Amino acid sequence: MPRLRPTRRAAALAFAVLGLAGLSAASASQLAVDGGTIQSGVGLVVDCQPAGTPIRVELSSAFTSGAYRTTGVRFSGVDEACDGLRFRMQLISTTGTVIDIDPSTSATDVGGSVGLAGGVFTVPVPSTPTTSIGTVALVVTD
Amino acid sequence: MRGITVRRRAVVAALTALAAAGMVTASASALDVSGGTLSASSVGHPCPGTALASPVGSTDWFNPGYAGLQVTLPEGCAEATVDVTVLSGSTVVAQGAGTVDGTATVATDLFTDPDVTVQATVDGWALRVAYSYVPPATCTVTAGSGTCDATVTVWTGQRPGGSSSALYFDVWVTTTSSSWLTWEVTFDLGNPYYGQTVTRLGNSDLDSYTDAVTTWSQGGYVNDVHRTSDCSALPSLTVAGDTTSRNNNRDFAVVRAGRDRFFSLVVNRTETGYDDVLTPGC
Repeated sequence: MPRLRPTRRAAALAFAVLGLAGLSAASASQLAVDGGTIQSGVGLVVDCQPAGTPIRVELSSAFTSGAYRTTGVRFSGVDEACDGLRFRMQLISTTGTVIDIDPSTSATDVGGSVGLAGGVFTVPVPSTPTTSIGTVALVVTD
Repeated sequence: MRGITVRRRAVVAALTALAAAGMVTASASALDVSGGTLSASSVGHPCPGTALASPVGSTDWFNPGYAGLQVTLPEGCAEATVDVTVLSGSTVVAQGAGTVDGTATVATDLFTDPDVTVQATVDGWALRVAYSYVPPATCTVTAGSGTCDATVTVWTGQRPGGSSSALYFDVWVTTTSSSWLTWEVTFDLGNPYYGQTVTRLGNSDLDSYTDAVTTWSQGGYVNDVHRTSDCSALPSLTVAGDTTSRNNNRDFAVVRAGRDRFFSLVVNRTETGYDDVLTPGC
């Protein structure tokens, strides 16, 4: 397996949004960038996002067939500097298992280019029971 | 190109592994990848915990029932969009969405039976809900043998002949008893059903009401009530009908099957005469 080289490293936004256990409610699915220093519960290293600017993470969910189901993840408050960068996203269940959001391939995550509109971009996912989603993990690379 | 894909997946996999292993916590974490430093942290569900929900009464006279849910988010939750679905069994009877910051009413489609369950999301994330329904008013028989029921409709508008729009609690007192019963109605003024903080209540005996025998109006036998509970009992408030005649047919204090009693309370009006049932400071 090729190893990551410095030229490909960093310039990355990576975060995980965990559900429930032990997490500060005040962080509330928002990620605040703090100049490369991780702060308790809210910090993250990212070149494209100004320090101290939170990114809001919401699920696109609707009630259908007896339960809420999620068909997308919406990221808002994203800086324009992130526009066009590559990303990959993974959903993780409340029990810590990977949710396969790319069932057509051997991969379980999805990716593409960040396409911002007003600081927002949404990543569609296959219809997934909302109650099963505990974590969203996202990586943005240049 | 293949290598880049692998690397990206490696990053995601690393994060996933962190999360799965419970290592991504509220504190900082960092993952060193071949000389590059990829840092990750975690944030929680926007609103962990269990929300409270109770039905709010409709203010539409022609569509009585429930037109929303009072939702209280778990402590510490930030302002968020709450989406609710009200179910009777597996049947969806109402849906709605709104912004909640602490406690707020989320308007829904009208539903008539409070025996429901609620599913909800907050900013799209699953939200556990503890739904409860407490009757906004109950009826008690104080003399006679039998039971009675009290139904309250919250109504907003301008009554015929009225000078302005007002908020009313319209109350029906009924029984299946074939004998006359003396009744009392106890309001739970803290109930979310009412949709507001009640500080003044005035008996509106200007609105005539005719049952099978008697017309109750300002100029005749009035459909008036008076408070019987102590101020210290608030937000519980009990009222009884005024005795307007020794003839049961014309006595508003008693009720019988087919002889329902109806009265209106005007809510939170500051004009003189509209706080005879409840006044600020009681």
